[in-house]
Amino acid sequence: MNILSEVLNIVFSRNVIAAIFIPGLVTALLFIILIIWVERKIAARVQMRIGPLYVTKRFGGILQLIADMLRFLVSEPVIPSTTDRLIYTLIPILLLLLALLPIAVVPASWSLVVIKTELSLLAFVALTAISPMVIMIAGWASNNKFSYIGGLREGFMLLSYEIYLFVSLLAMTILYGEIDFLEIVSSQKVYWGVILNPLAAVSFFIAMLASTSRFPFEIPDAESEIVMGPFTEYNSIMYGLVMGANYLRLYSLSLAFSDIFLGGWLLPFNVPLPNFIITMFKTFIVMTIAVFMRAVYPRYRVDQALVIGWEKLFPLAIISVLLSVILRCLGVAL
Amino acid sequence: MNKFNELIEKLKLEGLTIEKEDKALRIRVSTAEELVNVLNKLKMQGFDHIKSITATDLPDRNVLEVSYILGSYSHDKMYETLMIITISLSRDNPVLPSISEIFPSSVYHERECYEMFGIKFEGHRDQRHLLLSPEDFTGIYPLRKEFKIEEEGIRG
Amino acid sequence: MSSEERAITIFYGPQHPASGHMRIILEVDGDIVVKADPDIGYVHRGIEKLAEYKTYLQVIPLVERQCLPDAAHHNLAYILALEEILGIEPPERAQYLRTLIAEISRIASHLYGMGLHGIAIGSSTAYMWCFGLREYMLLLAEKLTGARITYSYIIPGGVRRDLPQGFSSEVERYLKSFERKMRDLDKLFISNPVTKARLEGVGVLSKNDAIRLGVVGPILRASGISYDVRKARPYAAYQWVDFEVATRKEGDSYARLLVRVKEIQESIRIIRQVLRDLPSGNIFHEKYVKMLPPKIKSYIEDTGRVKFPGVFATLKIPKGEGIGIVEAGRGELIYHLISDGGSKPYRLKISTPSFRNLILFSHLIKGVKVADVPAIYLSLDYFPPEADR
Repeated sequence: MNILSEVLNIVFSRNVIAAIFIPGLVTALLFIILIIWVERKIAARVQMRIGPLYVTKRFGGILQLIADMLRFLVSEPVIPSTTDRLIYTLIPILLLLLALLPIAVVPASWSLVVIKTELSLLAFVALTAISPMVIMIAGWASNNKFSYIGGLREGFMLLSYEIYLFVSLLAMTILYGEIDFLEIVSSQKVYWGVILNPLAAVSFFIAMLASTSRFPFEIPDAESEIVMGPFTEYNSIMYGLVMGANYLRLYSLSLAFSDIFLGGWLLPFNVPLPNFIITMFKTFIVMTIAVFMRAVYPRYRVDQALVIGWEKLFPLAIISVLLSVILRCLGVAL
Repeated sequence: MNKFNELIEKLKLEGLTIEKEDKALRIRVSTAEELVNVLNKLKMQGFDHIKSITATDLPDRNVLEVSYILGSYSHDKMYETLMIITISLSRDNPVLPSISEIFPSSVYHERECYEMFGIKFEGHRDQRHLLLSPEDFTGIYPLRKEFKIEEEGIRG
Repeated sequence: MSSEERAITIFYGPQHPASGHMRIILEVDGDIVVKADPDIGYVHRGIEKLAEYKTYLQVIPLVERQCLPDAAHHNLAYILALEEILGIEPPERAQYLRTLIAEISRIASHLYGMGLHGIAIGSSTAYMWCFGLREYMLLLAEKLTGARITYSYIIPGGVRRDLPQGFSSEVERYLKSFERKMRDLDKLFISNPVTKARLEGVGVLSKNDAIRLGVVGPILRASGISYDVRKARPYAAYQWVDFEVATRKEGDSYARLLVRVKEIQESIRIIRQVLRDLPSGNIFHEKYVKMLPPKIKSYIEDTGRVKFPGVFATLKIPKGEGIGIVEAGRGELIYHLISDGGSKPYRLKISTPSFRNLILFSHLIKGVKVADVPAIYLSLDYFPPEADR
């Protein structure tokens, strides 16, 4: 009896619910379905088109992605004989795993966090830095010249955005004096992070765009130049997993953005909604702004992205650190 | 027309005889050296690019007639002038000197003439097939009159 | 390893999202292109040979199919060459209508090129908007001629149909909303800082090189030479309308884009002038109208649609040679027609603008980065079916 009640305690504890439901697997899946629909619909309306319409016509084609996923599941995966088989087939699974890992340390409300640790922000940054290297391995394992060039470009992009992503988070850490997500959210009871240090917010948002290949930094998968970049030879369910991993990465970075800069689940006025709904709503808004860029900007060249990263955004991040130091000395925050 | 008279006078001084048609000027040459000579003189007068190289197959006279159409971009007043140089070659072994050193704009026109009619251009740096595949069309020159297109009937 | 040993060969081939129906063989060292060699002929259909097997009127739809975005100019150039041999001039109203359809076709062709250029540098919005704007032009052409893309509108002796009722006011309505959307396109795509960063200074063609290599069209005008066949050797109604030749000095890809935008604006000016100054009269030459029976003559006057006289079925042309030169959307187009007195052309030689610009591939795409290859290649507005014929 003791063992059974212990097991039930664990299964229904907040950590496991967080892992499975919010902000874990079920919410992530739901958000991927919704955000791809939103991206296609918004881009279509800007471009004088309609976008997905026929699946569930009354709701404007909102279940289009479920139809696409079913198609991915039943179509035949073709593995070219010239690739390195083991690595080629492992990469999509590995990418999906690495995209889901950073969600483990980000909370969605006071108690909904999978792993509660005091160094959660540090763990988050460390875990998001591994995926680009796996993408480079994918570019090499496909044994295709276009994939090779795409993998090299992913490496260049990693050098471009990683530093100012880190420095802008450093600025926020200095401002709050905390490195745990829960403490950071509780420090924003008076003012949100984006009002205190907007420079760091802008810098982190642009780093987020560059990190997940959103326009104007959609360089590794530049379709008109190198077909599909590192994922040229992927098809059917493997391609579905890789694209899902890309959007999951966007989801985890947006969740971190709304926890650090937008006050997480805190609002200046009282709303009778559970905390996690507020956090998820803010995350969705951030993701929508990130995917909207597709309809507005062309894409940069890789050397231009590197120049912008080091000449314009890195000094911006350094200035945001100085701003944080000044604010802290003046005793503004908290 | 008056606007061409000035040019014709200038070219007569160089020793070229010009036939004036309604919209263009024509010079007929008979040998390859004369062709290169005339083209060099025209280049000094301001004609700087080739617009087209037309080859026609005349099997009843046993000649291939090649027309070079030249134009000028450098001088405003010569924008409207069209100069045509015509030369006749024998059909059995048509050889012409390549003018890609004098006029670089003729490179692709000469390649196409070679593969369609079989005219060899001596001194051309890159005489390969351009539009047709070398496996099927070496030795066969499609735009000559003996190459017939097979027509398929419409069924039913 | 030296540069030649390190270079890998990439086939920027027909199976590529941004290449069209042609292949560029690139030798790439790291991120720099060392050599580029175009390999064309994938859509060669033998139009010049086929023209020798069809009667003079059957050649009209044949030559239109070469360049679909810009079919009216091929039609016009062929008919100008044919009329030079026949020795006839169409009536004035027909000249103005030929100008109208030519300008509609030019706008559609430029929008096609700009749309593909937009998507090559990543802006799918520019692609959708340009093709949406092109739809306005296709609808106008359908009202005028009955077909959206391959009109077969110009015939020896005039044009095939007269203006329908209420056409001028409808054109004015379309043009107003067209101009509004062009201003939006300008704000979103042409003045976009990312577009400027991608296209400025990329693929520069100097004035001397443009003259030496004999290029045509907006590429020539973007390098500083204001040569336009409509001004140099006017045909149709161009000597009676007033327009400017768009020229720029920089010679890079951004200048070519701006030249095309300016040409669209000038074409709209020409269309408005044509509709304002259209003279009244016949649309078909007197010599052929006389050959028709009176019932058909009154049909032409009532409905404004031309029926061919019987002699057109096997039209015999006197022996001679004719040259028709027009300024198509992509550049100067030359038709050289040689006739031997029969009912089929003896030799038809077509010198298309895309074929004459082919020499720029190996010249411009050398020493640039791989990411610049689509930006340069699509700024040249190369259309493979037109070059291959």
